[in-house]
Amino acid sequence: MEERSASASSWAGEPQGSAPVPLWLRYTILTAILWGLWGFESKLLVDRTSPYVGQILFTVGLAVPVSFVLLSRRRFAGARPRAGLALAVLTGLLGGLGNLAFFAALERASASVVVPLTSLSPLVTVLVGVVVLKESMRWRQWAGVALALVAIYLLSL
Amino acid sequence: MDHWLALSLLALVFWGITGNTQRLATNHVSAQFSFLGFAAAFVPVAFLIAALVPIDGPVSAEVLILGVAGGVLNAFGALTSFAAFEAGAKSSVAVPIMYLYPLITSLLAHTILGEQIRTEHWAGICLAPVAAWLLASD
Repeated sequence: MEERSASASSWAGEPQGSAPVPLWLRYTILTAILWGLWGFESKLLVDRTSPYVGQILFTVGLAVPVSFVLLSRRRFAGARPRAGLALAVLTGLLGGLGNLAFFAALERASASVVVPLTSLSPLVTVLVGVVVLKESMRWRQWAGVALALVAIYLLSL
Repeated sequence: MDHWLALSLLALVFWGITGNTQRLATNHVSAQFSFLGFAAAFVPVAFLIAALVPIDGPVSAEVLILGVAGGVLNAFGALTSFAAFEAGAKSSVAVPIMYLYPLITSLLAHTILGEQIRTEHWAGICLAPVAAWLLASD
């Protein structure tokens, strides 16, 4: 999960502070709902077709949010576009391979187990950060690693 | 190890590494630019699959809608997560809420598809957002 700073908001043009539910909370809840629905409907998809067809159609579906992002003023913003783009493309390649594995897993097991298990991917993010990027880890993150491993074990039973 | 478990762990590893590469990408470019690069990488993969993997018969309208909806839902979820943080969300609060999504999936799968969820799986489902909250701690 990527964490963004509260810098110039260019995703949302709506003023903050006027609504009873804060804007950030609405977006946060919407994120959970969109991803939750995605996990569910992915199961419906792979029950009807192969993971490969699923991945191709998923890619077609990306055209809609891409069109939305292309309207943003910051669509090509960045201090080092070449490096940033290379890393973003790498992210997409890894994400696509992850998707294929996810669809293939969903084909063989229930969504109520596969989706929670794969949602623990921040475990790998933190560990790669420590091992490869030499980031430091706080005790709470170690506790998170332990808890994630317990969750993976329980879901694999 | 069961196939489904190996594949799930594979997805977990790939997606986990994207957490690092995405963060590194946004050190250099905006989240929007990063998203465009991310999405662009899916296109050659899709063409490669179409070229190498035999696809049986025509795709039904139902499959077409479900498949395309997957890309829309997943990517808009990523965009709303960016928007949440740009609107001032603290990761310590927002991440565990976002990571309630497996609970939503599981409840839908249980209610609509009739998937049986064992007690130990419920425990794992409930632990997942707590683990995500701790892992996201700065």
